[in-house]
Amino acid sequence: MNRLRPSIKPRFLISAPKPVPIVIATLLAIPVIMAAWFGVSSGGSETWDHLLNNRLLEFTTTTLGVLVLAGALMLLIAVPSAWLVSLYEFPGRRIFDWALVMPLAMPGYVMAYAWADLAGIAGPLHNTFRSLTGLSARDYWYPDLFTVPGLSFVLGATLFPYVYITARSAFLNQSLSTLEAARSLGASDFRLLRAIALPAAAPAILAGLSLGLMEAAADYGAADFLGIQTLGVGIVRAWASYNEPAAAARLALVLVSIAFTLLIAARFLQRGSTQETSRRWLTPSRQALGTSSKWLAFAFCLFVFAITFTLPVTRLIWLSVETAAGTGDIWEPLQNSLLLGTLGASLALVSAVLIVLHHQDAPQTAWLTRLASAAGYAAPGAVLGLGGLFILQVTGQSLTGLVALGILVWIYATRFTAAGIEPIAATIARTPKSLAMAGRSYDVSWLYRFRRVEFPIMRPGILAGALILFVETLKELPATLMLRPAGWDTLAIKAHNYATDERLAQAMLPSLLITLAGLLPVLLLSRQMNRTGHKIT
Amino acid sequence: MRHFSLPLAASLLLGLAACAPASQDTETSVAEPEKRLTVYSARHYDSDKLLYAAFEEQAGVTIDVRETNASQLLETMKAEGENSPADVIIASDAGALWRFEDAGLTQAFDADLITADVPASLRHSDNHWIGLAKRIRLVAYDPELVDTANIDQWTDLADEVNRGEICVRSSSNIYNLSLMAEMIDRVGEETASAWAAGVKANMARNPQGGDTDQIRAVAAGQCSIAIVNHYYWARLSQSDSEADRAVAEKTRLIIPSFDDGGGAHVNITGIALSKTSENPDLAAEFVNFLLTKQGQELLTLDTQELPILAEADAPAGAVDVPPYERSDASLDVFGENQAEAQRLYDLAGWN
Amino acid sequence: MATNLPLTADHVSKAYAGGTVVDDVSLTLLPGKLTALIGGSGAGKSTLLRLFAGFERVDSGEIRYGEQLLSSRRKLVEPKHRHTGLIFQDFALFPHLNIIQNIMFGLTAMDKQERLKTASDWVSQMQLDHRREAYPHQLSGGEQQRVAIARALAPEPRAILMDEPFSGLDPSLRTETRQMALSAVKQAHIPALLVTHDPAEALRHADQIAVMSGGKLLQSGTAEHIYFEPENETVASALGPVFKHEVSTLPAPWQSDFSGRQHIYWRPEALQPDPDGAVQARVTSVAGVGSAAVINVKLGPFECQISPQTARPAVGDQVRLALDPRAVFAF
Repeated sequence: MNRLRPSIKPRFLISAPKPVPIVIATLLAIPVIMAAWFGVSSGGSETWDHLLNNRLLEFTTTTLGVLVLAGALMLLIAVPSAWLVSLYEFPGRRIFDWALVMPLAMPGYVMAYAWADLAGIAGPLHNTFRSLTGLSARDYWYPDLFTVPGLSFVLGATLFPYVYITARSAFLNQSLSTLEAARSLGASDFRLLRAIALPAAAPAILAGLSLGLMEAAADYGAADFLGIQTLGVGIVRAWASYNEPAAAARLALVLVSIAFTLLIAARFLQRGSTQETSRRWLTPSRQALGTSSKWLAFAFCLFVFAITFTLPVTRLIWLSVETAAGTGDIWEPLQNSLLLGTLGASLALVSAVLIVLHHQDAPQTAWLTRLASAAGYAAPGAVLGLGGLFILQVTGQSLTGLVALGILVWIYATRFTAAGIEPIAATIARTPKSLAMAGRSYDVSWLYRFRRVEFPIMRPGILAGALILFVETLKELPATLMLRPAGWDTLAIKAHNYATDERLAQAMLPSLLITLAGLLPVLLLSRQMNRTGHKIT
Repeated sequence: MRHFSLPLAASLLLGLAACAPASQDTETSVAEPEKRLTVYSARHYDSDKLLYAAFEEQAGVTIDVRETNASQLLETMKAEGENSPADVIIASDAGALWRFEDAGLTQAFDADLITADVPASLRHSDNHWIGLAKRIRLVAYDPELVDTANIDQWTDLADEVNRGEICVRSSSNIYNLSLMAEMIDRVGEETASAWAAGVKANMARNPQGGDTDQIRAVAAGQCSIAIVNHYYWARLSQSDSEADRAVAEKTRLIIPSFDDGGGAHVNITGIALSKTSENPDLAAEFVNFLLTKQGQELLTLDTQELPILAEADAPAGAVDVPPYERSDASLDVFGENQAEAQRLYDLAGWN
Repeated sequence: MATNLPLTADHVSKAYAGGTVVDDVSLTLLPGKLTALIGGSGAGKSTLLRLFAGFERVDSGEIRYGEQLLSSRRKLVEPKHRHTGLIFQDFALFPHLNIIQNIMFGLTAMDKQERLKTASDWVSQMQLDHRREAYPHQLSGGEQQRVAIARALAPEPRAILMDEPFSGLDPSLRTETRQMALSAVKQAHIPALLVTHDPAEALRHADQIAVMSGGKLLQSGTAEHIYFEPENETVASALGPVFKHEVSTLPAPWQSDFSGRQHIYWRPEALQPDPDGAVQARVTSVAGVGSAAVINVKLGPFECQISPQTARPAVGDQVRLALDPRAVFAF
């Protein structure tokens, strides 16, 4: 191996072929730019005026209302449960510790289906309640799922793990002695949380919240099913019902700005995490709770887990089994889902790896690929679906066969590459810089270095990234709905179609399969993040 | 593709349908010896797969299917323009089919090629689309609480006697739009408007959910009158779920008629011929197949719609649908009055 | 809160999954006295401190403040109710609070004005007036530790527990900070515990020294007592280097003093240059100057360090040596 000659000073001349990052940035940005450009450039129209005057404000306030309520719910669920499992010992703590991440495997629309069935006026909960109390449906008030608070509940219940994960890792990484100092100064547990732990964990918690809210803003399936007029629904309606793609693109601009603001906020907050002066980053030994408090903690976590996972999933299983007869045709959508998930995740993963490598090689132009991937990540699926259709128009292609498949996979990559970058970059960030420097000081080919140095270093991150990307693609609905090749039903599409057809029972099996397929990756991910205590995106 | 110029792209945007590159005229029909039929369907029923398979075998063709909801099919076809591979479009509700026609995406079937006997009132006046199955908008009610005399006319639903008893879905739904469109045609705009306001006043709750949710609400006792399509009730009665069957057992169906004795509000699932179709003959053959006894029974097997063809058996759940009469009025008004219908609902405050 | 009662550990034990960490330890911390707890790592020092503070439950035995029971197998008065000040090696300041807010954190019993005044007094006493609005990460290590001391003492705790408070500091800051801290602690007239691995620190400042090893308290007493009358080799070496010698290899004049012993131990200062000394030895190496000097002599088959002296011998010089019995131990 005579090429392995160390040069006198480190030479940074080996890098991925120069055009690669530019090509990737362009590819990732095109769908977003297309959607935005069509929104800005097309002239005013009657539909746009109508939307602007009558609906834009409503769409926007509804979306913001949902974000506020869902965000409050995420905090209310995630922070106390993360606090409990991080600092106290109580029955079931070890299980809740990872189990509370599981709702992340369930797409918002699946949660909406399950809860609509569970909590409908004729559903099992109401029926039981009425048969126990002898009341009639007109005699009592009940919380209605088909409302803004209802949608917020559904989104909060599926997305709170974003906050839970970041809060938990922040609490676990808290300096033990700082907490003990506060205790010795007479601080009650509540004051400990309010005055010490929360301020220290706040940036991480808010970063998790921003990500959760970004996902909430991108929702289409749940809002559409519950009939709530959010921007995500408005975009698809403006496109599909008002026949006005340009108006849809303009609504998309509003939604993208909201989501992008949240994404930027998340990054900013994560960067500004507290400067701890305390160096002892030990995991606090968990405090045993008194008899009544430990059962209270157990009850709280059980309640959270039940409403966000056990109840809806049990309902999915129940109805899937009950209506097992009508499930003959599930293998094809399952295969399609797996294939699309694999293709989408692979393309996104390759771009993520290339982008991370590029950041290492040429940090001064890293903003380009970073911005492109962030823009795609902040653009909800409905927006990118629109962008995909515009690409189709401009190129004069029809939505058939390989073309549609290609565009859809392209859109997946645009949407999710950023989610793949984060764990890979995190793995690299944890390895000493000198290692990469040493690797680069040798005059070897780019590929050789990647195979021998970067890839082994990045492997855990790549695995985590692949898992995230796979789950995300599997759950994706609006873009898939708009762009999938003719005759291609995925599990998500199947569930959505059944649900819009008011065949909720039949929607349960595909919904269950999506959830199950996402569960393993989510659990592996949770384990990895628990171990490294690292941030997520 | 990175090289397209902005002016070119802009012109494509303004005149999408017309601007597809000529070179894209591809081999779909030319080079393929094999017969292919592309179906854009707004339905998604497992029994449709059986239906397509049966025709594939009988006619020796291959069917490509694109299934998604009607409005997305419409936009997809607009985006595809001249390149759309669609031969036929299957969609529920005459109002939905009208949207395709209105957007210039359909062409007329050659009436001579359609051998099946479809009443003129269940097809487009120029044969842009042809009815395949019937669907009836009616009332599901709680027999213990409601006197059928109070609901056997559509206008009765606006009567004060039904105050706080009605459950119905959002007005933007095509079923309600078509109902209102026919109402306008039958009783005039003024009465129709008053009717919407009366129904709004009689609602037990704000419009929400789908038709099935309204029937469930009646069974749960939240209201006693639900305005729904018949097949949602039929599906509940045929459900594998015991709870669903219990819902159907607690409710009864009645088909209100229009005041002038003009019979029921009957809608259709229909098939339209795509303007871009290069196989109109094959498409017609497909339509004829759908209108055979076999085709009709497969078509309605899962949906619980009512066959058009007299000799076809109604699906199990639909046999409980009460007898009804229908006038010969054209379904074209469903589309023509659509915008007006939405306006009247909006005025009445019916969300 | 100046009731000034002793804090007592009475036959306290604590075990984890890995084994017994604190094994039947009894130790009384007297008010106004500084008790230094020394021992190697893993000796159980920090765990004993945490037991005193109430962060851990005892497996057996009792911890009492005066007559008040704080810990037993069944009972645990929580840290927040113990009024015990704590000082950590890593300072453990609240990163999001400034200096004055950090010090005010524990002063909840007072009204706002009083809190501010008390905290300000402490800021002045710790000579931090110019930094009162600063945040912890803006301070030097010594300044941070002074804030930590003020924060711990400001609420007038019943006792103060310090876990290697000075070992994280730069040596140049250590003396000054330690001086300021320990004088503040002594002024409080409360039981004080100082966990340290620096024997010089213990010997110089502690009123009482307790030596732990393997979870057991080997010996406790005044510095004088522990230093000169260690009960075993471990205690002896915990307080400074000791040399072990076989009696039979000693120069003949000294052998008779230890008849019946196989080994003896002495500290470097035991070998005193003395013109009247019974033994003569040759200097084999000299390094350093003054009190840091290391002078070795050839004594029989061994090279031994002797007590430093101002007159610096040269290699090869013959010196006469006496053995100071106070620094010689036999167990």
